[in-house]
Amino acid sequence: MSTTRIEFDVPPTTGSMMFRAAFGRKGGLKEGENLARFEAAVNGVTVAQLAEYQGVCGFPESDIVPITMPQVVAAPLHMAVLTHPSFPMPAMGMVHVASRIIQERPIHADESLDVLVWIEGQRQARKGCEADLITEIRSGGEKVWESVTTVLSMAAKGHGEKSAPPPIPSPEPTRSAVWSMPSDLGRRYGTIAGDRNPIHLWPITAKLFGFKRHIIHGMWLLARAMAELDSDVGEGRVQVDVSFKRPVFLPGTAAFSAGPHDGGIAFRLDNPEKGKTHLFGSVKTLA
Amino acid sequence: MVQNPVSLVPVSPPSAEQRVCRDAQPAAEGEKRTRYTLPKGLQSGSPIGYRTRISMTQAEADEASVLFALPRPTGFVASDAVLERELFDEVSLGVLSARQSTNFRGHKQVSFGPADSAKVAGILRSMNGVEAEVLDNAAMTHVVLTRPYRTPFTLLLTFVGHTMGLNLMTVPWRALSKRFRHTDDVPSIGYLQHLHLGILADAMERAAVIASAGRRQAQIFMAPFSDKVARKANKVAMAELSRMCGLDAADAAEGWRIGLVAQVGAVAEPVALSLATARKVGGNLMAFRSERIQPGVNAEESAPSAYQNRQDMDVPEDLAFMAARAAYNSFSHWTGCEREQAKQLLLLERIDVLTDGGKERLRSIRRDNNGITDALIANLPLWADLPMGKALSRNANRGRKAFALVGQRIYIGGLDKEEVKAAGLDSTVACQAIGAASSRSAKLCELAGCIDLPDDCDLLVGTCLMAGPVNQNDIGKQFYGYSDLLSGAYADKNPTSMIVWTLKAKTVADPLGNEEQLMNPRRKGALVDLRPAPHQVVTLRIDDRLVPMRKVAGRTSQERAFADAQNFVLGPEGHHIPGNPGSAWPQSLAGAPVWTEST
Repeated sequence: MSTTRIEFDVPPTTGSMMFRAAFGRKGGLKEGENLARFEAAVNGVTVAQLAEYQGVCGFPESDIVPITMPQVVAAPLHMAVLTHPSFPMPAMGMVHVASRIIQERPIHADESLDVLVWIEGQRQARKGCEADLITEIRSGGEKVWESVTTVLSMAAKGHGEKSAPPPIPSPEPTRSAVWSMPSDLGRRYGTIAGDRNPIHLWPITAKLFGFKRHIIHGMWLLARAMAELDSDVGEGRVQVDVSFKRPVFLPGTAAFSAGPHDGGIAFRLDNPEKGKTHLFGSVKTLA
Repeated sequence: MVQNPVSLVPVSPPSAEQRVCRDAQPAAEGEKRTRYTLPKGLQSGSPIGYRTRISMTQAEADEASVLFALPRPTGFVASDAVLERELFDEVSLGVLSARQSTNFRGHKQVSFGPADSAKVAGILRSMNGVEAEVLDNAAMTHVVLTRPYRTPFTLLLTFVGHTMGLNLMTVPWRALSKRFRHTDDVPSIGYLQHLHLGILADAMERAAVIASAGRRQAQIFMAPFSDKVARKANKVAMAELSRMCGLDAADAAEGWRIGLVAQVGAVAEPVALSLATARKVGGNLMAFRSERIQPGVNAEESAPSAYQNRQDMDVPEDLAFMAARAAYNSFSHWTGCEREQAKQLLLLERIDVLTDGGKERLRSIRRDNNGITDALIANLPLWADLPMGKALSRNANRGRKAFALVGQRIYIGGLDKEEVKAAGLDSTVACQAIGAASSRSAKLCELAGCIDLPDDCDLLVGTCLMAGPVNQNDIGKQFYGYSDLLSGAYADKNPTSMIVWTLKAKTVADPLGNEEQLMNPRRKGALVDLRPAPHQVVTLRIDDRLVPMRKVAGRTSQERAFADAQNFVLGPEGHHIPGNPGSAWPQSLAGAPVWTEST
């Protein structure tokens, strides 16, 4: 299969890509068609707006880059891939359903990072198909961070079969807090993260895309969870897994809890009134 | 002043079949939530949370008894910097939880590091009437700001006791005077501010010891700030201290002023309190609540059976004796008078409710206070009450519950002001000392009620500090010709009653809904003080900047103090209430020194 590769000298700006995502027309994957490889790369990137990111996500100020922040560094490349004219599926409507992050070692704010992003192939899901967007970050040639972002697109035929959902761990909590998320949180985070998807901005812009109100970014929820876990996340080689189940509407509240589970820390975020789960995941220290 | 040692006397639990405990369950689908049902969650920055009492051994209780007779420190020694979490634990036991009136937040605190503490020490030394030695080498200094007590009840009081016809003029006059000159409708409302401050001072003194497991003590000063005369004599120093605290004209217009200063430092001879016991006591202090609902007395008919049944329990005589001893210790400690003199000056009437005489005394107080309420309602200006849909008279009527005296041992505390003056004491300081005395006495009993606490009991002794009966009696005194609550017991004196505290042996804790009203702003009720988060009432002065405690961009604390005690209320099948256990503040902040300079 052919590879489409885009190389940037500096991280691209996302404004025009967002416009293409919102208003571009794409047919989706045809039956039997496989998603070809699309990749994007940029070298020599430094982390910008670290203090602002730490502030909006609740991390204490530090010159260590939070474990979730490289995703923000790579976000323009994700957009470049997903909104590339040859990419067959529409970016708008893609749902971020899960992520895996492996941090090889903490990244310092002054490091120069090489970022490579690619997506290739897909698998059928119940309603559409899922694909993995891989991000790899190197510093001085050494791999320091990678992530697998699983997205669901309805622009392909699904297998339609129901399967039992994975059990959500519910350990004895060592942390349990209720978060308050104000209405402007999506706008503030979006400005820093460079993700101004209309569904995160205002009730009216979210309604245009089928949401009753605007919702907070899944990656903010994960970042806030990592900030809440604080030193429980560990400092060495760390793996974070998360599944996003339901959006959190703004303004809103959510109940975070976490506790030891299966050699690591399991965490979850629930609706405090209805008890439904927004996301769940785990953090493990790797050998 | 030498205090007599106190001991914590255990309370015998009732027979196994009489033991009941709070068993709050979540409301079933479609069922109306009541104060007996389990809250769905807790979103609060308060360090308290929904807590349970922890059983302590007699040996641990004996160790903790030192907290009820702490002498003033005689000097501070150089020490390690105070870590942020140590400060959090300390303020959690102090300004964030010291028992205040339940629907009023009347304290704020500004804390200073070692360098500023030296400046504050210099200011204190320049003041007149400082009641104890100002110490060097303080690791930190807390300045507590206080303001007059104002609640919906005091709003109602604006309309009370006026003469018909003249009230069209006298009501607005009194309202303006309250707003701008901070005058009180009846003297006992003014006492509340002093009582609360005394309660806080006693709590802060214990807090410094518990949070540091005996390494640190507090030297607390209230006298130079007590009344107008003292404040006038210290005008320049007060202005300098106010400036350091960032107290501005707007604050002063709201009635905020300096109430006390607490120097905290390491002591050469640590208080004998092990870390394990300190953590347990801290966890228990977080759990103590004003126990208002007494089984079989004023529980609603719909209350679960645990709240309806009488239990064959009583507060042991030895514990009642120790409670009184702790009260006299505290009064002597805070006024600086000798202990025997304290016994003369602190007027205490003890009512043993289970005796015939006690029952009759209780009935007579209730009768008098109901009579005062009737007179008050009849005297309310109709021009104010009618347009408000009789809200004033309805609220006055509802107030009867606030002075319903229940318990097994009831103490009414007060002073003869002339006698206090003759003894060379400041009556405001004496009032503060009465607050401290009542609080110390009650805390001692509550902690004693945790000794060998059986698993099927929430507690063995509950206490309640109340000003309601005194306030109601004061209205009667001021406007309707009634005599003071203590006038029968002290016929030869001119007593002024100030506070009531009650003790009751029982095993079931308050309905959780009572606490939810304290914690959840959306469930505002009669019992709301919205237990504050650190950033709401504690300010730290760091590098000449005033910063709210535990507030950084995008985040405030939801940590529960002494969470290591693991005494959180659990729901069905041992599940935690979401948000209740809290989440620790980032270790990089909590484990770091608050101030980098050394003592």
